[in-house]
Amino acid sequence: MINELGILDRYRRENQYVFLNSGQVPGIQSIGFDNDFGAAPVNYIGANYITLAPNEAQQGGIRIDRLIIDGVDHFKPFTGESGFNLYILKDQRSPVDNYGFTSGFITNYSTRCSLGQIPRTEIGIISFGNLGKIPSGESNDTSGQFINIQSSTEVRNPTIPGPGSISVSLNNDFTLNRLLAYDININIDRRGVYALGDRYPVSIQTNYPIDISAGFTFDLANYSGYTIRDFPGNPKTGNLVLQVKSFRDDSLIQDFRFSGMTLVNESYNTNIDGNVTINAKYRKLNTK
Amino acid sequence: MPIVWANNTFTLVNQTGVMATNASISQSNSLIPAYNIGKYWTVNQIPSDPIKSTFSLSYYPNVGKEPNYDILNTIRGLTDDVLYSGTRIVIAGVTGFNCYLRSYELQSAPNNLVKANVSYESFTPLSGQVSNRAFASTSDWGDLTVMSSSGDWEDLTVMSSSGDWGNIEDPVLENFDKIPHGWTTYISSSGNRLIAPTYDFNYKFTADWQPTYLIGQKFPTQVNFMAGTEEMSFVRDSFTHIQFSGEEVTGSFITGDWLIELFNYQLISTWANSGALIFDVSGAKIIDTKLVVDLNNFVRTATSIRRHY
Repeated sequence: MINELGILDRYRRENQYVFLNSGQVPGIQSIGFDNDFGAAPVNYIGANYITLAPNEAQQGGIRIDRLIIDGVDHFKPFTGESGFNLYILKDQRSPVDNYGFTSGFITNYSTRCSLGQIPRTEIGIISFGNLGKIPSGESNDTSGQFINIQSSTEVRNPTIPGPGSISVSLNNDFTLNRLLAYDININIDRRGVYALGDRYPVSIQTNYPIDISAGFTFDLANYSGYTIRDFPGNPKTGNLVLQVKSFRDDSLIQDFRFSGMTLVNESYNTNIDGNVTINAKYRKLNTK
Repeated sequence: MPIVWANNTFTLVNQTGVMATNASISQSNSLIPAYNIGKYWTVNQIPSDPIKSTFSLSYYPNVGKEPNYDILNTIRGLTDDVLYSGTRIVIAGVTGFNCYLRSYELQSAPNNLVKANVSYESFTPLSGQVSNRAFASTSDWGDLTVMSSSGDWEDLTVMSSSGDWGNIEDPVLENFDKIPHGWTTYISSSGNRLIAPTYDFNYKFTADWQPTYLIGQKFPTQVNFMAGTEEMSFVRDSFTHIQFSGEEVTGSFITGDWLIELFNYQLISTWANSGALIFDVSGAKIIDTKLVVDLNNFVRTATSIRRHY
C-alpha cells in the first residue's frame, strides 16, 4: 500500500495495538501466530494431480511475550477454564482491520524474573476458533468486542514491578540464601472435542492434571542440599507464595500460591568466577 | 521387466478410477497334503478348494463417482442374483474378471477425510502383467496399442463402448476433490440434524458368495450371493443399555430413523452439493454397546447395529 507521501507503507510496533477481548493490553514485547491450515496432500496410486485437502483439526498456535507495565496480569485469569479472543489492530477505530484469533486457550503460562529485570510473562495459546483476519460477524462475541474496542481507553500510568518488590516464600530457603532468579511454568493440556458434521469443536476441555513447576536460582548461604536418595522416602516439599508488587506503592500485581510443591531437581554450581549457586526446581500436578 | 512405480500405474473398479492408497491382489491355491497308507511321507499335494483371487483396496471414496458404493447398492438391491456376474478390477495392469464384492468398509472421523476399504473375490483366472498406465500425453486413453501389447486389454471394445475412456485424462481427475469428510458427515433424524454429537462412524458390509462347480469344469458355472451383513457403529458420549436380545435400533438408541450422509468436503465453502454417500439404519438391531474410558480422553460409548440381507 502506498501512503499519502507516495512511499510504501509499513506496519511497525507503534501501530500494532493488542486487544484481549475488548481491552487493550500494554507491555506486549512480541506476538507470533502460527496459522496452520491443516492441508494434507491427497496422494493415490496413479495420481496425475495431487490436491491438498483438510485432514486434521484446524488449530492455531500463538506465543506472546509481555512485560507487566500496567499493574495487571491480563492473562493469568485465563489459566482456568475460560477462553478469549485477541486482536492486533493498526487503528483502534477500525477493528475490522485486524489480525487475531478467537477461542484461544492458554496452554502454557510462564513468568520469570532475575536480578536487574522486571518480571516477564510468556504465554502459549491454542486457538480452536478462527485465526487471521477475524470478520466482525464471526460471532456475537466478536461483533460486540469490535464495538467496545473503539471506545476502550489505554492505561497510561505505568505500574511496574521491580526485583525489590518481589517476595518469595518457600520453606524459608530464601531468607539467608540470596534469590537471583525464579521462573514459574504452568502447562495446561487443552483438548478440542470434535464431532462429525462440524469443523469447530463441540467442546473444549482441560485434560488434568495441570503441570506446575517453579525454578529458583540462588546464592548459597546456609542451604543444605538434598541427596538424590532422599526421594521418594523423604521428599522435600513446601508451600510456595510468590508475590509481585508495584515498586512504587507495593500494590499487588501477581500473586501465586501453590501448596505441596515437591523438589524434583537440584543442581549445585561452583566455579572460579562467582558465588556458589543452587538451581532448585519444584513441581506440582494440580488436579481438578 | 521395468520397475513400475505407484504413481505410474492405476487401479480401476468397473472401469472407473479409484483413488487408492493401497491396492493388492492375492491369489491362493488351496492345497492339502496327500498321504498314502504304506507311505511315511506325503506323496503329493492335492487341491482342496478352488483357486481364488482376492482384490483389496484402501482408498479415498468420492461422492462424484464411487464404483464400489454403486456395486454395494447393486448387491443390497439384488432380488435375484442369476444375472449378476460381478465386476472387473484392474490393479497395476493385472485384471480380474467377475469379481464379487466381499467387504466394503468406510470410516468417518472428525477432521479427517473419509477412508474406505474394499475387497473382492474372483474365482476365474486373472489376466495381464504389471504395467504402467498407458495414458497418452495428449490427455486420453487413446494409446490403446500399448495396452493391447501388454496382453490384458484385449477387451477394448467394452472399454470403448462404455464411453468413458476416450475423453478424459485420468479416470479419477474429475472427482479428485469430491472426497467426503468428517466435517460434512451429517446424521439426521426425520430430516433434522442430530444435536447430540457423534464422534465416529463406521460402516461395514460383508457378503458371502458361493461358487458352484460342475464336474469337468475348472471354473464355476455360477456364483451365488448367499448372505450379506451390514454393520454400523457410532461413537457417542451416552451409554445405550441393551434391554433384551431383540433390541431395535429405533426406540432405545435413537428416536425416529437415522440417515447418515457423507458429503464432499467442498460443501462447507461452496455449498455445491455434488451428491453424497448415504446409509440408513432402518430395520437394524443393536448387537453390542461398549463404554470406554481411556486416560487423557473423555468417556466414549460405541454402539453397533446390524442387519442382514
